[in-house]
Amino acid sequence: MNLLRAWISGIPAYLWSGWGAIASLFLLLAAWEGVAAVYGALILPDPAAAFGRLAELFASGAAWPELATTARRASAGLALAILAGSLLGLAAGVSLTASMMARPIVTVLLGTPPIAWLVLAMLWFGAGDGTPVFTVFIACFPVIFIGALQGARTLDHQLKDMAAAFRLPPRMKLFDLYLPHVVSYLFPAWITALGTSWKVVVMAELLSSSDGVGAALAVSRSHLDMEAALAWIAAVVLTLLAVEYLLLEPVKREVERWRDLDREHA
Amino acid sequence: MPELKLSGVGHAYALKTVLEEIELALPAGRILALVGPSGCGKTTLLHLAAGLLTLQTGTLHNGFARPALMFQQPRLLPWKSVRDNIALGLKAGGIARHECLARAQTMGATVGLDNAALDQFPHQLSGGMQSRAALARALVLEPDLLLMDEPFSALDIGLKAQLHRLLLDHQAARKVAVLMITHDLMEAVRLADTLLVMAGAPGRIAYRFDLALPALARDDGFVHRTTAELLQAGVVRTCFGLTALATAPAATPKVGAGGTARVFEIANPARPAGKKGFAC
Repeated sequence: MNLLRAWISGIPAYLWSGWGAIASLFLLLAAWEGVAAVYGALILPDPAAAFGRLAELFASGAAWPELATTARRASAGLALAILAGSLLGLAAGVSLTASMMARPIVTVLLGTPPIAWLVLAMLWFGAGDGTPVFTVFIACFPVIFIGALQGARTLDHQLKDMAAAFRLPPRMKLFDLYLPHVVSYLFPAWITALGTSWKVVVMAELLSSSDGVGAALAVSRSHLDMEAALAWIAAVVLTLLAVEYLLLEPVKREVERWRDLDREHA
Repeated sequence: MPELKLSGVGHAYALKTVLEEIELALPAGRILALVGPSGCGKTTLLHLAAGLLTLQTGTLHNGFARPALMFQQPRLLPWKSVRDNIALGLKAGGIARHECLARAQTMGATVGLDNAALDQFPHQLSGGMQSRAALARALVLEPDLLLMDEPFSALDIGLKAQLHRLLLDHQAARKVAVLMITHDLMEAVRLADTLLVMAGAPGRIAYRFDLALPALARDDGFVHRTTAELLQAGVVRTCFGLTALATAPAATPKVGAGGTARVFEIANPARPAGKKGFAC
């Protein structure tokens, strides 16, 4: 509850601090506009046209169901990966043997391209939700697993001794000792995984599904409709930015307040 | 009366013996200081007494109900405010939150941490303030046995003197038994009722020194004199690896300040014949 209140009350100041980020995004738009002016609308439509088309898509109601489908698949895969990756990663981090065994396996998982998993998933799950959800899960899982494992492994053993000396019960050890430390490793991993999940879900849909943003992109490609393609890309990127900077980043700031204060002090 | 009693305690890490034949008894309300060179196994001995290490040989009897431990470093949780850190042990004991915080507040004030300091995170405080917080975290538990591992070794002499005073006042008021480890002979002479000097490699108790004058009644002059006399003792010099004095040292130091010190030489610091490798 405290976290929620801090999150809401922190939003105005946080948004105000975002002017710098917005300015650099506008520079990017300017570069886009410049390239569009040089090469013409057939190669690259200008930003106004792309965003105009996006607004049209929203106004006609065509965009919402596709975005919702994509979001559902991405978040299902991501949620599964966060759940399994965090729990298994923590468990592996607590035991030295388990972490030594897990490392090479995770390296293999990280090194396998998502497109390879996608091919397998298409054979296993067909054209339904299963294929994108599985691909997202398998792409995000190792990232989160490694984060949780590192978090559990790097906890200062001096603090563990302290906890033992002060006879902290297991529940307190988890909530007062392990989790606060691990969160600072888990959160960045979750945010990385969130980005991965959006990229991978669009790719998976493009190749395997008949609905969702990826499928819509495939349609606009076959129609050589650059404006629509850019509009869909913009929709995906904007959604990702919104989730990351409006939801995750403020929560992370609140959870890691002690670390920031430390930095200011130093 | 509760008592901490170790007899015949030894410890080894893999093949390296770090402690051998340790005998000591600490009754309630006494301050016992273990003095010795760095690496002589003092911390291992303290961790054994605290139950952080498993006993390998010998017997250990701890009759105290509420032991508390102070480490060499403050070891405060960086993500909790100083107030929550002090209350940590109370919370672990299942005491209601407002009660924990109230007691932490009182103890914080006792060791000289005001409200502003209690609201901060440990990293925002100076080293001295962090040590105060660590002391408060141990004392707030109202322990009957306080185990301390060179807790003041990183502080300047002014801060050290202040914290000594806090500790002695608390000890006198509550009759806590204290087992403290230090490599600072003068600190031991200032605080302890009994001083055990350890020899290293492997750690053994080589020398015992009792002080009759109550710690709160000792002034700087007494502490300096007694420390200087202790350093005359051949055994103590050997333990710390000091070169022997040019003039033949007295076998035992002269009794300081009007008959307040008694000396017992427990054993020759040289290892028994048949075992080689004695080095202090």
